[in-house]
Amino acid sequence: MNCQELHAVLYEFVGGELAAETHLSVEQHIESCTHCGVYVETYRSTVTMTRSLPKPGAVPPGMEVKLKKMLSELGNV
Amino acid sequence: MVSGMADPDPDTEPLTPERVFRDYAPRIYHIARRMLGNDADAEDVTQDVLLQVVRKLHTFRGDAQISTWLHRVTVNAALAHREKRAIREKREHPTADENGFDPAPPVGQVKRWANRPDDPVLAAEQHAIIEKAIAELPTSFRDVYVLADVEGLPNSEIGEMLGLHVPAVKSRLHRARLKMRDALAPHFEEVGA
Repeated sequence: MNCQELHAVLYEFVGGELAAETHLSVEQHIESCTHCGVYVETYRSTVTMTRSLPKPGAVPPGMEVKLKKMLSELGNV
Repeated sequence: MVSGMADPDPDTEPLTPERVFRDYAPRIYHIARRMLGNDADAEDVTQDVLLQVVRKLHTFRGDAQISTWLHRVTVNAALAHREKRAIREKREHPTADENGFDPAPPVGQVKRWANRPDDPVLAAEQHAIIEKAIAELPTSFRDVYVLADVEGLPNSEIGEMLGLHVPAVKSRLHRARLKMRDALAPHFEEVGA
């Protein structure tokens, strides 16, 4: 496997969707190519960092006021 | 304290408009905010979706059913809102980025990224950098990225919501990740690496 071939299957590799043989080829390439190894690592970090964004806590204060008003109007219908 | 779509126990607390607003408004708002990129549009979409939920409240059997339905309605409302805005602003032409992006192998030096900070202040800075990079993605990539990598929805569900086949979802998600990686790299690369 070369760098270009690895790039073509990067999504599937990171998602664990490759056949065992291809997966192994990617791993072997990464071991011998620092450039691709770091690239795959940073691609993975992008995904994990995004997935670790905090869960939504609340709507902004101004929005909360509007929603309360809307709720009270709904109650009066 | 609001709790996003925490799916409270439906047996202990009935579905009322008050509870729907309290438990679901934050999640709706944040999905719309990330997809549309601004507060005002996200507020409009949140109000629109909440009204739809309250009107249909009697048809839901529990929180799990609402949660699935809400994702779909929120995405539809956000897409419709964006369409209206585009017409209003006469900005219907797609950017070169969306159509002409070729995910070729990277050239030049690729540097390692530093470890993630434990300090809450630094972590908050990091979150802000990621949110900014998401907001700057071309819209077609951003929709898929928000739904897949932020919300954690399966590709098949995203495809149904956006009217795309699963391979198209995967392709856009991969391209979005490449763009995100490139946008985040200057902020997170090890100094002197």
